[in-house]
Amino acid sequence: MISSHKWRKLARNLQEVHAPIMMVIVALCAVALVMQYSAAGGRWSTFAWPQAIRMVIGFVVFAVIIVTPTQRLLKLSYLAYGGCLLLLIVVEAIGFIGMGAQRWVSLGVFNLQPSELMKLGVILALARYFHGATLEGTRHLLVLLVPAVLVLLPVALILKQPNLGTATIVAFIAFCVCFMAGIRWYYFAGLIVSAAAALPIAYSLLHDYQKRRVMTFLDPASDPLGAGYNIIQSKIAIGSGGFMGKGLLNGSQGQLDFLPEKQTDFIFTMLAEEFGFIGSLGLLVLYAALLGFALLLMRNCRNTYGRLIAAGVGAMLFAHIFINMAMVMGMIPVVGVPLPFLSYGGSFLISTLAACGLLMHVYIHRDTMLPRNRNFGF
Amino acid sequence: MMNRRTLIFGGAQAAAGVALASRLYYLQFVRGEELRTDAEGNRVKVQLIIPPRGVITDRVGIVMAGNDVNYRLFIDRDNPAQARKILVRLGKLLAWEPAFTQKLLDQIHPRRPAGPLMLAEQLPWEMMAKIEFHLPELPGVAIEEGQWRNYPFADHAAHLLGYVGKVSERDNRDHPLLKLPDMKIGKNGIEYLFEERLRGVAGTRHIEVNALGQPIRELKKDAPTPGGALKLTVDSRLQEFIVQRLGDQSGAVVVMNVHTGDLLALVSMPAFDPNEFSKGIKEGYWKALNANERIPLMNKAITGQYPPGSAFKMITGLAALREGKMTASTTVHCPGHYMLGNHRFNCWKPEGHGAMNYRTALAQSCDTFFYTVGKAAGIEAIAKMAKELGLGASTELGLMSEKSGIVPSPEWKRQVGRGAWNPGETINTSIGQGDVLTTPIQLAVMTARMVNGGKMIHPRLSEETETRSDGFIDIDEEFLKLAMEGMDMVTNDPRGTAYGSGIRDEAFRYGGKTGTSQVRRITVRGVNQNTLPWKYRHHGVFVGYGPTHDVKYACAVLIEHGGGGASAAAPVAKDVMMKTMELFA
Repeated sequence: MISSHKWRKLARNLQEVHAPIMMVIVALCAVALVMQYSAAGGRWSTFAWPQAIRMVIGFVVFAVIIVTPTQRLLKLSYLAYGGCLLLLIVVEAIGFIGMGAQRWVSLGVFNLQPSELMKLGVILALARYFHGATLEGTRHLLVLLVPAVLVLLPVALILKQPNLGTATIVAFIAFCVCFMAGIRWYYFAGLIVSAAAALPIAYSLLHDYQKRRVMTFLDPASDPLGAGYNIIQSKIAIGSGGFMGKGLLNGSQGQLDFLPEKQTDFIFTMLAEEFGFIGSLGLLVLYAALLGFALLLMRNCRNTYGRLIAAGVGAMLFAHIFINMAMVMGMIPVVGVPLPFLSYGGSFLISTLAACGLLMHVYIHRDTMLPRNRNFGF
Repeated sequence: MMNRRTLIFGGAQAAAGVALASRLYYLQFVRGEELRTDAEGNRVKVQLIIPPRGVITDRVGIVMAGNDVNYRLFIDRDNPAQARKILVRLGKLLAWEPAFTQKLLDQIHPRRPAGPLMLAEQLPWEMMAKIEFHLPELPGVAIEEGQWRNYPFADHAAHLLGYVGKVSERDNRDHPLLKLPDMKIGKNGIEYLFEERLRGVAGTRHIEVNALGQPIRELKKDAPTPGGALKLTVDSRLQEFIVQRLGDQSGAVVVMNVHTGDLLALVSMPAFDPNEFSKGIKEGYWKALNANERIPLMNKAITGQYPPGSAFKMITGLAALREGKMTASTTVHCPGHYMLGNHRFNCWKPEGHGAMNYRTALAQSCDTFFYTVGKAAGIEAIAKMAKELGLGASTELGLMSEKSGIVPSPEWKRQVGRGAWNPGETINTSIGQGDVLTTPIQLAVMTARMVNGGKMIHPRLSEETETRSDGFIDIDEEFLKLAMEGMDMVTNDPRGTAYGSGIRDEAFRYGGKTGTSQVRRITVRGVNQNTLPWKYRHHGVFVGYGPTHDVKYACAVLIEHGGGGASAAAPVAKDVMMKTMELFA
């Protein structure tokens, strides 16, 4: 049984949340529900209601993370990572048996995508690893072998699904965490050079549809009714929103189905069309507040574990926000990356809220001193 | 270390944020106006509304070509992949033959969007009800009300009116209206000639559509301006009468006002039903028309070229009169043949006509007389006369495929590369045989110019076209009167070749000239034409004018393979002249 002392401590944890950021998170959820209402042509039941249920689940996860003591979180890090990896392998196996690309495991309420959870798994595992490493340790190339394996294993599995977008983001998150952990410049330089060298090889390994997306990005007008259609229609929708937008449910591009995937990847387009420059900028400000909060924690948290979690979560949110928005605005090729909070879909919403939970956890426990574990926690 | 890298990390994020905001600004402000227009273009589909085609009436206002409502089935091709799926579903629903569905499927490119495709027209009521009921499951499918060109006289005025059909690749497609799948334009006859004024001006309909091209609502509509009604000079009652009178004979009849050039009837039989054409020609019907040896698709009145035979004889006489080689009293003795050197040219009457002058020679159609005066006048004079009377050139009626016929002359023979003129050819030309070719409308014009005082009138089909003439023929009017008197004797002198077809009522007295054009060059005299196979029989020709006391009308009758002018063409001409004079008395 939990003692009353512990209860009080848990309750205090909940009270200690950063109120303005909490409001930002709630505001983003509210915007998400309004946009899902609009995406369904003015119905709550189609998208908004299922999404609201997932938000409740997400907030439960959020609360659990907040109240978990940091030491326990630290200890559970590798376990969480291992669990995600196992799920990925299961999905791979099912997909193999099903003779097709498979990204999810059915949980009844929604289809769980382990690759979404893996983003958090990688953050936790890397933070845990580098928390154990000394500053000097990070300077040795050998020390990088373990994180390299920790990252490349899931990335390879996700790439095989195939899900280029998620794999890229997982790699990006890992890159950012390593960067913040203090790995030397020239290792990164070497990495970037070898990545650049690998680019043509990677391109040749891409699926035809992925190559087409790259080509379409370079010249969307070349195929206005094929793959370029989405981008052209999306740009028209955003641009036609103008300063004030056309108003809720009045966006002709979205409401008349000219936008594909409008409830998922192109939800920002709907928002930009219906709420204009003002609404879009408002959304950017909300995201900026969240990312700024992560940056602040990277500076102010007293333990490396927390700092690196903040860095990972910041990188994860940033990557999604930037890639998604840049994609729908025609700045980068079409990659299937959802927009945090707003895009319809369970796994990603829950991992987003869990990620926010981690941020809030780091905030609450920013002054906790964690002992370094010399043997890297194994 | 951490702080510096945090700064870099944060700085990169801020830069990315600025990039996103700039892009938003670029799209929503810099390109806002342009993209708003694009969004409107997506949302609003502008459809052209086909204007109702102008009605064609006869001279008294009876509708000869009108419009009926036509329910047509369309499918949008904005989204080709979906359209193909829907089309298959529709085919199953309506129990179409798989081959038929496939033929329609072939017209939807799998990826390239196009305008709407018409699947069927003249939808019967049951089919419409069925489609309407299932419409929610058939996005992109629509039933539209259109017009169907209706020709109440069916095949009785087919060549005259022509028909409408779909715009084909060969047609000029400059106007956007002509790109509409169900647009129909005049393909022949009056419909083609007066296409522009019959067409009208397109209307527009602004419709809000979704991405699937399904209409959500109508935003704006500008009604089309219907095409103007066209009044013809033709009298449908006369046209109808002539068709009935011809029965199943193959031939052409032209009736015109000799003073104005107004065509009162332009008949060519057998014909086709233009209603079948405007619905879309069915292959079986098309094949049957093409296989018919009486060539129903040809407008024999303007495209058929025939030797005029004896109907040419007035010209030979007029040429000789004008050249001073003959007078009203010049007499030629007919022994039944004419000798040119040691070549013998027979008269149709072996025992001979005896003493003949211009008028009696016309009345009895004596060949020998015209051999003689033709030889005297010379081919150049004959050809000149023929041309001034309208032969050898198109009458410039404006209808498609009008032929110019042939007026042979030494110059013509050189041009077609057949060498030097042979004196025997002048003899043949004198009686309208040899190389002379005329169309029935030219024969009517020829007659009109002889009986209207030599005014070189051109025929016309609508009062909107100015009456045209090329002035007067340079000839003594007495000569023309002489020809008329001869023609009058043809039907009214007991010895006239068409005395049996004369009208014995002074008010409706008319004159004319028979002609028999030989189909086979070598004809044995005295062969009973009725025993020959149809296609080897002579054509019967008759040209007439009337009424004698106040000449107003000229007609030309041609009965293909009718056997002879007097027996086949004259009886028809009599009834046609009678009806004409009755109608306009």
